[in-house]
Amino acid sequence: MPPQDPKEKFIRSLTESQNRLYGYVYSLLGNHHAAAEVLQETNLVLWRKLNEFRAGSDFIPWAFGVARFQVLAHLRDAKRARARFVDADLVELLHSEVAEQAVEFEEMRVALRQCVAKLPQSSQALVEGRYFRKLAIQTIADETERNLSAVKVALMRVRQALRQCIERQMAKENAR
Amino acid sequence: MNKEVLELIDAHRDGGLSAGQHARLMELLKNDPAARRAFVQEQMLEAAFELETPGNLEALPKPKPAPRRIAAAMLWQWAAAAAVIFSVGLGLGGFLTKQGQTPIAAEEEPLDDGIALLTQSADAVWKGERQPREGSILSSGKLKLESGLAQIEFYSGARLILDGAVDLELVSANQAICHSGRLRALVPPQARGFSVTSPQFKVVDLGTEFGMEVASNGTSTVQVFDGEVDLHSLDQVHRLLGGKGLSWAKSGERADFPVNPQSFPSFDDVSDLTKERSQQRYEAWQKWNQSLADDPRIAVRYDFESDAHALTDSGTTQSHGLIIGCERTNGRWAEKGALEFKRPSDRVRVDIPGSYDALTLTAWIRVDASPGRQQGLLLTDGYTEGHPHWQIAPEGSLRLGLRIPSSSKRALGTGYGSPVLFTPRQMGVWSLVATVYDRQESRVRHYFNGREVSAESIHFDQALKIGPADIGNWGVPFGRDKHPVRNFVGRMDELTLWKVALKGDELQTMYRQTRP
Repeated sequence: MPPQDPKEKFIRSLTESQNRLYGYVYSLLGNHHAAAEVLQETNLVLWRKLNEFRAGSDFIPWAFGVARFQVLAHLRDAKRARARFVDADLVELLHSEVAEQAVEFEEMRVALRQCVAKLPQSSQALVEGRYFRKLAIQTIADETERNLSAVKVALMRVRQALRQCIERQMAKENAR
Repeated sequence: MNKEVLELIDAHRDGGLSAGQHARLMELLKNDPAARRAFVQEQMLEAAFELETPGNLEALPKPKPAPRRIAAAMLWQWAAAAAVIFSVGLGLGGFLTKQGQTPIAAEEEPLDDGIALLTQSADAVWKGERQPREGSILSSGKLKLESGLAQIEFYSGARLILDGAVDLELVSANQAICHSGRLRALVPPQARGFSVTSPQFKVVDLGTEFGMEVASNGTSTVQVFDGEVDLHSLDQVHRLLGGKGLSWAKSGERADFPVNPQSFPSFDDVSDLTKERSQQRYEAWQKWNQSLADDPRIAVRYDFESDAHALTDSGTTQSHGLIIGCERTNGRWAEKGALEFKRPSDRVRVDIPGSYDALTLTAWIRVDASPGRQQGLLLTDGYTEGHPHWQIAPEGSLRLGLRIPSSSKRALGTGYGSPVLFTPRQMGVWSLVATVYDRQESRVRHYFNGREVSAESIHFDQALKIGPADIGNWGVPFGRDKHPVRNFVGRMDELTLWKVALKGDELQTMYRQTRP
């Protein structure tokens, strides 16, 4: 087989890194709409820099580097100054931890699915409603005929259980 | 983890941080690496939830038009970029659906809807989607044998020989429907009440042996060789004793029919023919095996044929394996040598030199226990960069695990997994597994029985090395008192390391030439 076209190889790497890049960008911005937008911008910049990418070097760290600058550019944009919590300092503070965890993002997603499946039925319904369907806590309370604070407490416990389960699951994965 | 941090993170996520809490959270993030780690984990979890949410693609903004300052010469690139973005969108969507459907079998109690087992077959050609092989577990549904002989054992204990062509429908462990063709049934006392239905009647066996044929003109005949059966039709029940036969035309016309047990293949016939075919296939394999003797593409090859205490490597490096615990047994064919891996101690120690830019791993294995945990096929010792872990993952997929090169102290794992292959259905069935690692093409592919089941780009480009490793186990995190149980449960009767990236058609040919 002839050596593969570098452009094709690049596109493939780019396509396969989409979820990890999303995890990276979202973790810095904390907003899904902004993260989706920055991901698209990042894709365009990566594509423009196609020729700068050295074949044989690792795509992911390079792409994360580009994504980081796109996040910062996004924050600099005056119109987006409303972004309250996140600022450039926080990005500087978090980006290396984010990069480290985003590399394992796909593994984490697998762990999440396995952990959700392990939850008792009622907790699964809670996760499904709150985190997948994005229902308001009040709506869940109404639907399940429970009071608001009971649902809040239940959600906190489920979240805790998921957190611990994912950590265990990934520790197992990493011991492979 | 610090409770305060988690509470602040929860409050932040729900949008309810006061100015004071905000300041406190920032302070914690600035000064405490554990707080940063926890905070990022929460963010990752949110991102993961988002990707699990159906319909999230609509949330992605449309690609933006190219900025005007781009020179005309670059326009083609922009067109291509737009295509990338588009395919990226599609890719993400495809990924989501695919992943969303991934069965998480390992986490649930395994369910088996099997009702019967294909125990023997000779020259069997199957038609349609179901292509059972010897050892296959069968669930309810149609089974079309175009030609050849096949023996089925129902969980109730009843046995059928199908004499192709036969169009059979399995209903339960106690019932089958013969739409057309010839079959012989042996119903031991434990399976009394087993029935086979023809277009005209239902034969309820009262413990015996009978033959049945549904001809193309719609006439059904039954011959009772021994014991007795009840023939249930719409309005009546006929009892038919041993030595009696009956034909029943579509028109409803009935007549006595002579009984001739020799007109149906017997259980001995099937068994003899199966043995003969098995021997022929084994001999064909031996020839193929010899043809690989001087194959320059082979780095290491274990054919499992010698009875020596070591597993002989017929490849160039002479990396013989030391057998620990495993018992010798037979492989794909009764004559073929194999090893059985059963206990957590069972393994073959090897030490394989070399560094590989391309590596193809092929093995014939019979998995005998639903994974549920990792089962090692070939695991390099420890967990170091460039040293692969070739294994069956808990959910039943084939996986090449690698450690990510990283300066971090935490061992970051990555890997290349296939879809789920080893379902309860696949237990006890021989299969050819192959994994191709190719740096030049930057791809990792998995093959199952000669068919490509997955392809992925190499995440971190690096040459592969084996060195000290275990076949069928994990050769230790040396120095630790306790280590995870990773042993393979099943049989292996061929394992080859090729220093080239074998192509799909080569693996398909290999499967056809070496299948049981």
